Amino acid sequence: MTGAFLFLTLCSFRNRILSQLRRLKRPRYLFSAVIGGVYFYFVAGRHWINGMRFAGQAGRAMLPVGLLEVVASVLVLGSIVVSWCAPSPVSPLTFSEAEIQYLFPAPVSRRSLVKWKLMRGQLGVLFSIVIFTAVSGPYFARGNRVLFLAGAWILFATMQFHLTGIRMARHNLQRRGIGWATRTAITSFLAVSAVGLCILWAAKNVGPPDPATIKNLAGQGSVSDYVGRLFGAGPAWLLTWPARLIIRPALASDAAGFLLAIPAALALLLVNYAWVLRAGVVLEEGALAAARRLEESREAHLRGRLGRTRKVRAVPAPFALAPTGRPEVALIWKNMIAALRGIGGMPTFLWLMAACMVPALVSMVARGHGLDVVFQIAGTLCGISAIALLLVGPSILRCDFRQDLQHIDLLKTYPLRGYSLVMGTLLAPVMLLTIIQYVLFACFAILNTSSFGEFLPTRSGPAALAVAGAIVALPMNMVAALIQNAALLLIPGWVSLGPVRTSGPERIGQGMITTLGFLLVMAVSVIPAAAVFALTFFVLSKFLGNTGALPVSALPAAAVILAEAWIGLLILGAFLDRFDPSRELDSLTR
Amino acid sequence: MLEVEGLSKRYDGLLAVSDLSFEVRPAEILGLVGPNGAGKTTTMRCLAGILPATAGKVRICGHDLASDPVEAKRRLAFIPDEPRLFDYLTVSEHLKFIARIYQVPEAEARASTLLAELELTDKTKSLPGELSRGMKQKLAIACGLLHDPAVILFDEPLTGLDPVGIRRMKDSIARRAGAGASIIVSSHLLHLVEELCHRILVIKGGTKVAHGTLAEIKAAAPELQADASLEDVFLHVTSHGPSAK
Repeated sequence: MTGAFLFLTLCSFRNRILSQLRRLKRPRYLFSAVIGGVYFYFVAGRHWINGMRFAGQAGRAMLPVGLLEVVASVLVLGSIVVSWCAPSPVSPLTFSEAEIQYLFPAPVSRRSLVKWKLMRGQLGVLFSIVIFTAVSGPYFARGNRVLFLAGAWILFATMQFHLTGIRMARHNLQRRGIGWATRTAITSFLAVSAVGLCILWAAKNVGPPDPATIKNLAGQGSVSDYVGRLFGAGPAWLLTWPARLIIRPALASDAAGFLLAIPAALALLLVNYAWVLRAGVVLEEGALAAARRLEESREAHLRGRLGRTRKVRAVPAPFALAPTGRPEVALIWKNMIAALRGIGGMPTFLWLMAACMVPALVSMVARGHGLDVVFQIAGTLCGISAIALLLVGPSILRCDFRQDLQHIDLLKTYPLRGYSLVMGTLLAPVMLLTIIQYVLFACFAILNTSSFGEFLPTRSGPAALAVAGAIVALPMNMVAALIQNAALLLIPGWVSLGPVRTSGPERIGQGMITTLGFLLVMAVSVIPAAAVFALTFFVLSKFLGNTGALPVSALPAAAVILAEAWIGLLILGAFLDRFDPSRELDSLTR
Repeated sequence: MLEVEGLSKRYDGLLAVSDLSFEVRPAEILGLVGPNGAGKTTTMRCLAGILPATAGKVRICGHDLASDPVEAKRRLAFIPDEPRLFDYLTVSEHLKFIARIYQVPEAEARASTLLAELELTDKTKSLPGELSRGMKQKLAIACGLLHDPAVILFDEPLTGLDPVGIRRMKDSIARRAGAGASIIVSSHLLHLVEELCHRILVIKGGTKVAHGTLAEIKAAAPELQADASLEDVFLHVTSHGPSAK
């Protein structure tokens, strides 16, 4: 049976690599793979090459080994505590739907299945530690990079087994009626008690650090020395001791040190492996639900939503949709429902926006009571956030083609021209983003009443800035959304559709290119508007003053950006009319 | 009425549909059949305006799908085998959305009738995630029929339906044809095609290998017996037709 599992794992791995290589035949994939490869080289690869070249050189680590060992062991303990406090898993181990269909009815023992899952997980561990070693090796490795890699594997593999064991234990506890709340309460109590015990012991036996020397990293009285005394004996030493055992091989400075540390680490690795195998979980329970959740999560990822999939709930419609009128409004209506479903719909969104205004309104009556500095800072933060949203907003609100590309064949059957489809699809995120920015600009104007030096000497300067920002916000958001969606429609191969996620170096390259491209196109699209704004402002400021000229000058600038957005809309619409899903979206091809 | 003239669709180097011409008159049901990979779905997706044709013309009620897509699509419904629904819209919201897209003034009354016909009346507030596969299919059908299309393309219309649903679906297709709609039913279920369709188009390798009523196709193949079923006809014509694309 091991042979069959090995065959499945190796074939899956090989085919995945081959499919990634086959993609490189297409120039855009090859180009992005090269960019991704260059990025990898500078972030990780060159460290590896240098590390191998200087293998055996000890003492180049950034932190003293004792301090490093303590920090790492605390991180290990922290991850264990967090894992015990996590919600009960639907299934103790995650299987795909295909694995459930073919492996569960097969004459295979459950222990063999668990073994296979653990072993297969090592592929991921191996990939992680190669990257980890390449990136962190120069700072953490004390000697030979290969020894560091081997030590890191023991650390990561042991932790993988241990966290899997905890996951199984959580599942078993849940089946016995001990749910998340009880488990978290007990874990928190134990963790807090342990920390309290350590603090009491340290207060009695170590005392506070010496302020004169504690700022040093190494030496007498340094951070390293003090932490060493804290964790060198007593309950802190006892608590972190097992974690240190699995960390030590990675921090060994030479082969002798590695060989000395390895028996205890390997023993712990085997103990954890045996613990998982003997956990006796019922794999079938919840496995299908977990597999479906995994598929949903993948789909959610493909639609641009990050993180775990939340169960979709019906939310109130943002407004009543009449059966006749501009059809684009239907798309706005649909995408607003999609965008706001996470927070309970439009009423909640509007309440949230109103709530954001409360501190600003309070500031109007509370001014002069020693809180002005706070209001000033809050106002400035609001202004910065509103401007930042121009750049990051379209990446956050993705209820446009990034969500509906999977439905492109359905959208293409609708009796709409391409530009209508683009406009309707993009306007929902643009409008929501603009509402948020309007609120932020309003808060900025209300909270921030001081002048801006000679440029805006009056107290109405912030208000002028806010009005100018609000005028250009909508067209700017439209341009940003157009760029994001144009990239998606022009090079949809860079966004994976279907059940398999795109990964590999070319994906990193693609991400970098699209981000840089977005910033570049945004910058270029702003240039004509900026020129118009500067010219208008230069003329008008002589008559209206800076404060008066600022919002007025924003009007022609906004018109220029709006014109750009309209042209972009027509171009993208025409492209969408000719868009061939069979050519662009492999997964939709029949 | 649907008119197809010299329709061809080429994917990178692969000719999926080659020079296909046919028409579906009002009140007529055309069965589109063919072996796996024959190009049925590609043909349907070209007719629905999802895939741009490499060559040829598709006219829906006189409107060219390429040059006048909005008017053409306004009279068309494509109901795919796999229901594609928006997972955040409820059943009634799907219908409201489609009503606005297709500009259906009397949408509310039509939606009620369709929901009752498809037994979805008590599911109006449900999200697609809360529906069974068959119910999702029914919702997709309701969305497709809401604007009373003149041309309807059904791709494997019975997939996922229970026996009662199958009976209702068949009745519904026949009724729509009776009311004057031009219908294409693409299916592997030859008994369904034989039972429902007035004419049959058999394609293989993207090329038309037989077209006409069952009697006409049988007449064109004298080696077939007079009482041959569509299955016999299908096996005969597809074993003699072109195989390479």
